Amino acid sequence: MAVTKKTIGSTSSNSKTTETISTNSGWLEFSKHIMTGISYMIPILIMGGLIGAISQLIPYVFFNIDPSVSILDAINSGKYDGVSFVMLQLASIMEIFGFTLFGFAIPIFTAFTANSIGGKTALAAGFIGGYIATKPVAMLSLLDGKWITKAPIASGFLGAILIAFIIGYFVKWLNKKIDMPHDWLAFKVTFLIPLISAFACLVLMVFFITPFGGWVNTLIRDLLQAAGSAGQFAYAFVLAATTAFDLGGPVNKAAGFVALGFTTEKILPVTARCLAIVIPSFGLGLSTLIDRKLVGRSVYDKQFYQLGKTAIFLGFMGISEGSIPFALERPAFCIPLYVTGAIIGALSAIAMGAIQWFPESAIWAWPLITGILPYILGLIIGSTFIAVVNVFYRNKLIKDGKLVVNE
Amino acid sequence: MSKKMIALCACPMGLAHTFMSAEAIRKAAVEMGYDIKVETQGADGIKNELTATDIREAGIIIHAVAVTPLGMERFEGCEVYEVGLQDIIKNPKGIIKEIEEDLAQ
Repeated sequence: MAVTKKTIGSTSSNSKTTETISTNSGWLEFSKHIMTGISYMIPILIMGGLIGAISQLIPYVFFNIDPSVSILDAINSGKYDGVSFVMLQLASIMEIFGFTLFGFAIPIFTAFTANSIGGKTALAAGFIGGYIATKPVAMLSLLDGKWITKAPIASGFLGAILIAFIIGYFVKWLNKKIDMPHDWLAFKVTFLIPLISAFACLVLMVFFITPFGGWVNTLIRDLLQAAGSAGQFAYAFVLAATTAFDLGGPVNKAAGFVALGFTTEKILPVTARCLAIVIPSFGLGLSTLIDRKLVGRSVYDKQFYQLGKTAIFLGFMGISEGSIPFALERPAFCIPLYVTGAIIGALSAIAMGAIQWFPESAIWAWPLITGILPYILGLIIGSTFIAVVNVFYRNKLIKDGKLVVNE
Repeated sequence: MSKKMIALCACPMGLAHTFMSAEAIRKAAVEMGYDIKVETQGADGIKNELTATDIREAGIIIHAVAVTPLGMERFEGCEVYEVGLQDIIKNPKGIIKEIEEDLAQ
């Protein structure tokens, strides 16, 4: 069992482990810091996402403007006046506002990841680092004998993770290593460490992380473009599997992190993830609705029928946690089943032409999907697969006497 | 040994695992005869906050967390058992027994 015994304190890092945890405790710490950052980033994504989604609904759903026409072009086209003109203006403001909020997601992530590692000073340094990861510092370059400033390619999420960890541990290390008389504490924490951390941020971001991250981002983009549709399907396959796997747990969030980077930079759409978030919930929920029609008996304990409806409802809200009770009840069968269902559903939707760039799977984001019909078809295919296989499997278990259901 | 146990639960989304683990700990602790208080740090903020008195009186402190919780300075100098959320949801009694064994040593 994973139990770690710790003595909490600023100086004591001697965490004694009681049992067999030492093998993965490093990974656990790592994931805890990332999860902390992600948990603070999520509210920003939700706020930015909601405002952004509403701004897109106005022109592309209410006014039926072609999605390739930007809001600004629609305003300039002169076709709209009066109330629609004001609505479009409002949409434009909301779009910009929403994307401004999105811009804060990465700095918030780095700030709180670094804070989780190294405390308040690291929080500030992490925020700076994250900001530069999205908006790189302009570099001087010589053009036709004149020096100009030019912003390099952003290092994005990759740069954000790197700087969060490096600066977090660096600040922690500084706090520990710089030993000063107590009278000098104020000097140390309000001047010396902030100065060194900010300078470290500058050097790391400008000379190492931005060039490296920008290079990797360009490389990935080129690779995926070269691989064409095969690359897209491979990506969708992995994304769907990792997203569904632990229903909103660490693997899911890590996958989301990568996918978010790709979709905000318009490299690859997030369609597979949006579907894989909700397919397990729809599928498992559906099995509680169709079992009596399909095999003529209940295949779950009584309390699961309420949980099934909750799971479907949460699925419409884009939340996968509703499936957790089902997964815990019989994990060895249930997890492979819904992962397979998510992959089947996501791949068939994408093969039929569904594309979603917007990282949200709740029902209110559906109007933003290109090819809503293939999307819903994929959703139905994946969910039905899970529900039908699940019901027949459980029915067989009951017949074999391996499963007792309390109706 | 004091029979008071306190626990702190927090997961990244603050929607499901936080409250599932809190419920699992509460149920198991009551059945095993503990006086239990569980703080949850979910999406709706800190609920049932552990006070300095709670922490001082507690015989066992459990952190069922997947993120770094808020207010860690409250536990300065305390011995804390940190457990995974999935583990405590699945087998709360087993983990509490394991902690008891460790304390008995």
